[in-house]
Amino acid sequence: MGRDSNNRASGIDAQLVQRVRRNQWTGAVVNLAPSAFWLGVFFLAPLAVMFFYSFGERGAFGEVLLATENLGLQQYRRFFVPEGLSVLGAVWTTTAWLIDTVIPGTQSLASTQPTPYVRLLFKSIGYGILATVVSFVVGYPMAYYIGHIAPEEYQNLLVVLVILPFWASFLVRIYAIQLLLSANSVLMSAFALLPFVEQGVTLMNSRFAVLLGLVYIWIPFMILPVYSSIEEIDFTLQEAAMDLGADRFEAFYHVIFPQSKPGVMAGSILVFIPSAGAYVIPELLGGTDSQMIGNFIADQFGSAGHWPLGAAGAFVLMGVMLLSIAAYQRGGGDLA
Amino acid sequence: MPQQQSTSDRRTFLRTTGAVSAAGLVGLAGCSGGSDGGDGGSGDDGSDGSDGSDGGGSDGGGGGSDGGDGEIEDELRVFQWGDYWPDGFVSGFEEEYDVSVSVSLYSSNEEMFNALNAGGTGQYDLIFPSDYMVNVLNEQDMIQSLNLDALSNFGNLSEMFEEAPYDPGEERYSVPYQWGTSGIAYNEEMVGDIEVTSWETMWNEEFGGQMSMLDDVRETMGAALKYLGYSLNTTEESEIEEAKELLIEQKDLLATYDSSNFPTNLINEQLSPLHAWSGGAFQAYWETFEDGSSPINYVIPEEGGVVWVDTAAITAEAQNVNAAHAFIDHFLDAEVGAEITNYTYYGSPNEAAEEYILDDVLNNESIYPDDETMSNLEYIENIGQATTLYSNAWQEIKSA
Repeated sequence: MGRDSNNRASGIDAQLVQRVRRNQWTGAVVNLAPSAFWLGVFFLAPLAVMFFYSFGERGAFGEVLLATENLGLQQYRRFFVPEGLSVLGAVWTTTAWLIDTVIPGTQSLASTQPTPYVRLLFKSIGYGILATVVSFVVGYPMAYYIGHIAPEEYQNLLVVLVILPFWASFLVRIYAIQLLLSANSVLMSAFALLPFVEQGVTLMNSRFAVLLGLVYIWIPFMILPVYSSIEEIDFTLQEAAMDLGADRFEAFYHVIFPQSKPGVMAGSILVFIPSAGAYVIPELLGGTDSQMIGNFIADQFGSAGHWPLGAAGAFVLMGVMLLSIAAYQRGGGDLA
Repeated sequence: MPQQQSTSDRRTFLRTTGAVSAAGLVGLAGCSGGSDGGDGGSGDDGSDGSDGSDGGGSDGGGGGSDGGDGEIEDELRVFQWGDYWPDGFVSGFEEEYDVSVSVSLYSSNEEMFNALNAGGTGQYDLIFPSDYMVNVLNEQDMIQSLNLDALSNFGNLSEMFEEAPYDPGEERYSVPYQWGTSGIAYNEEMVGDIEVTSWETMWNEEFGGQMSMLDDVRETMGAALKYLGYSLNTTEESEIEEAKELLIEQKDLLATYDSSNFPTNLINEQLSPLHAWSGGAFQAYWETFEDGSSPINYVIPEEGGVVWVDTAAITAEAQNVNAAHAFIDHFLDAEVGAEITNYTYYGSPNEAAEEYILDDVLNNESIYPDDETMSNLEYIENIGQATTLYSNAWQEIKSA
């Protein structure tokens, strides 16, 4: 008897659960509640606090002043506008400096430099773009090989091999690179055997080391989406293109590559965002000139004790990330 | 042996006004409204024991059943730097006082400060802030004044550390635990037997590309300021500017700014000479110690540099105030203090402990510098809003 009624009760419960879940309104609540709670409490709420902080001011002891008279855009102003310049002046200085830096030859446009924060921000974006481009150049052929050329029975194995580095901690792998690049390591001693390379040379503490670290850590995020795009391409189209007179390169460029583009776009976003915001890699592999915006933000929350400026920096960086995602979507990407 | 109930913290004051006889409360003038956590069992160690007898000094033994007596609680929550006392140190205290101690670790003052700020000071009873952080914590009412009568071993401190510029005034909020310096370290295997006496070494082109400075605003700016002959706590814009220019000039000679890997870089002969904290330099020294010597040297430049002292302080909302006092008194004991220094190789502020400290440590000028060098050392002080001048300069150096 007891068992029976229990069964019946749980049957009714199950039915009820089904009905609740299927209902348009309650269903949304039940299904979304856990993730909404998680994101709300651990992501949105802290983010909102930080956003609020970014309008505050620093007290004499590094505390955050949030009284009404302290609130304002001063941290953002400080981030973007060099002392003694108007907002327009800052825009001009920044643009002129960017043109000077990016295009070689013109060295005279900017009379003053933008703030160190802005320079740092663009340097980080530069690192991000460079890491993305290198990941693409190295990762695309690999993804192409796994998705198309490799025998089917090995494909899964190769994909696992791409993911394999994630089995070891990120930090451990960065320290491993440190050991490889430092003077008198196995790798550097091998290099020293080459002509024109001095004994005891080191690649540590350089921009190269930072770039190497970024590419090494994030390249799987380029390979995997590209691979999944390429795997779905119907390669008979390539044959058709070649039948109609395209050579190998044309067939690839006009037929295959466009179809793998969604993967390339997704991979680029996945590599660019963590690279531009990197903190640990420049910290451990970089030299005197490889500080990135992530290190600056961490400094503000740590030893510099200037939370409002750090928060403002973090939101500027987030703005850059959102812009890059917007660009990606305009470029025909689909985030799903 | 009755101990005079002479001082009290403000929480006790709030608790005891109108209730217990608050006889002999002094030093409360100008107290700036503390926060009352509403816990139990706090209070000053006011029951008995008048003199400074050592060993297990504040054993309470009072008769009262709750509140205001000196009964040591059976729990203590400590927030401490990593690897800062020998193995078995905590369990020794636990056995002697019958207190169960839980220890959490942090790796920077700011980390500790942020943790207390975010979760309230009631999370921990005893913390170990460095000098300037004592000042910050005190200003923000996050630590409470100590009952010196409960610290029978307080007199063991050397005169130099009994007075503390970071903790001025009648009431004490902190007790020095260990101290050290920052200076220049180098590996002889890498640079040979060079003579280092001045900060000038760190600007010597001969060592271009193989040096590093600490990745710390006040330390590295401080080194440059000292080299220029200024105080490392200066708030003069022109002096800070000058130090900034000097550090930008130095940048080409450096491999990196680094404050976590320098001991490894010394040991593995990657970088030398480098700007180092004494503790890290000694760690490298012992790591490479063989047949009675080590290639690692550590020098405090003649222009002087930073001296720091880590202290013990009791949080404003501590739940186990008496146990915390007992813990402080425990490490102030001469033999216990020596034991810690013989393990960490940091200087001990404990003068009475010197009798038990190894001669190797005591006679080592880079741990216990001579008086003249000593007089050139400065604490990093909290300089309020001028901190922004330093961090701006630092940012410009980093992105120059």
